[in-house]
Amino acid sequence: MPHLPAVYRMARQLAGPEKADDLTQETFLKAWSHFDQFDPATNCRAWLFRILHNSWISQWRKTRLELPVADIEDVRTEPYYDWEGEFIREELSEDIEWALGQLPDAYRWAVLLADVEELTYQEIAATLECPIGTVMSRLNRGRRMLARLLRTRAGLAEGTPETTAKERP
Amino acid sequence: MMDCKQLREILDCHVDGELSASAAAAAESHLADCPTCARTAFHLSSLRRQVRRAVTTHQPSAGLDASVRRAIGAPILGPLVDPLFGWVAAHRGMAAAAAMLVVAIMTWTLTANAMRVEGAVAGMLDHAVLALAPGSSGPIDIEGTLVCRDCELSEENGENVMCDRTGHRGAIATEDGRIWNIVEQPGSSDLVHDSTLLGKTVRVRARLFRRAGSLAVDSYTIVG
Repeated sequence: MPHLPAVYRMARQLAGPEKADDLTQETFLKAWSHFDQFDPATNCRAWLFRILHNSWISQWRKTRLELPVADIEDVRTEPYYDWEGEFIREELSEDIEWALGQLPDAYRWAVLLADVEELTYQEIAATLECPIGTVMSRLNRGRRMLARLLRTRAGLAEGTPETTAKERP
Repeated sequence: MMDCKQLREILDCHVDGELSASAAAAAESHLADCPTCARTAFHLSSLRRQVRRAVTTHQPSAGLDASVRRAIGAPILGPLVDPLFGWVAAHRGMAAAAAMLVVAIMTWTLTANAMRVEGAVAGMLDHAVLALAPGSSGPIDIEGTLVCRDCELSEENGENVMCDRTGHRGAIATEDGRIWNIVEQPGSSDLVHDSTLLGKTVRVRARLFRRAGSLAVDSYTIVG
């Protein structure tokens, strides 16, 4: 099935391995029944992700305690990455996935769509139904948060714990 | 000349390939002269690569592929569906009219193969398993099993139902797998509300409202 691997891996990161199959199937069913609304001039994969996003928002989203992203986004994007120096070495895939799982959902969506699916900012903005500026700030902050989480985890493994893992507004 | 601060502000856009050609060239020229920024850019690219590698290790199972195909009725359309999605992906700029044509062909194929369609598509198509005279609006005889519609839905789709609070609601499941609502009428209210009848086979004389998926039962006999 075309695009099945892409939709599946995204569903898996968002809903977890147990629910990934169901979310994937639901996405394809909706796509199939609304195929008349697909604009062939646009990216089919991005269109599927948009359907996936809507399904996930409406019924699959985990209710979990996290800072409202709107609050975090009020803070001006910091221009500097603070991972100069020893970081980054090659991480284990499971560490990367763990860190992705710690990101606020809105950041995780942006990072996955950009880094894994390599959609353009324009396509990501359309998928997530937000302005391009928001995409940029989510990517910037999401990646920095990811790097910090990984560094903290590596530090913990080596017995030199750092104090903060999560960004605060 | 771009300085470090300016470079860091656009670094995400640069590694994502979102900069204009001239801005990208300015960024590249700074990176060539500044080892610190070059290292940061390397780290960022490395992070992107590692995220991509970690996430793409997971592949869908063959079972999922099969069940998605089954759900959208793709088994019979298989040869058509794949080229369609592939074609669309490869020719983004093509006119909408071409896509409409493909959809029209698929619709025709679906209809032509209606008798063989399974799963979700079956619900959308009227495959006339109940041998009705076309255009018949008079009463017909139908045999089926009395089931609680909400319990069936719960079993099939895991939906939350409240039969334990509101009581079961009888419906007739026919051999083709359809479930028909029973319209509330004085003569047939036992079929709807008497839950001791659930599981029994019943033969009804009824008027059938196809689009509503409902039966208005004039009379019935419990046959087993």
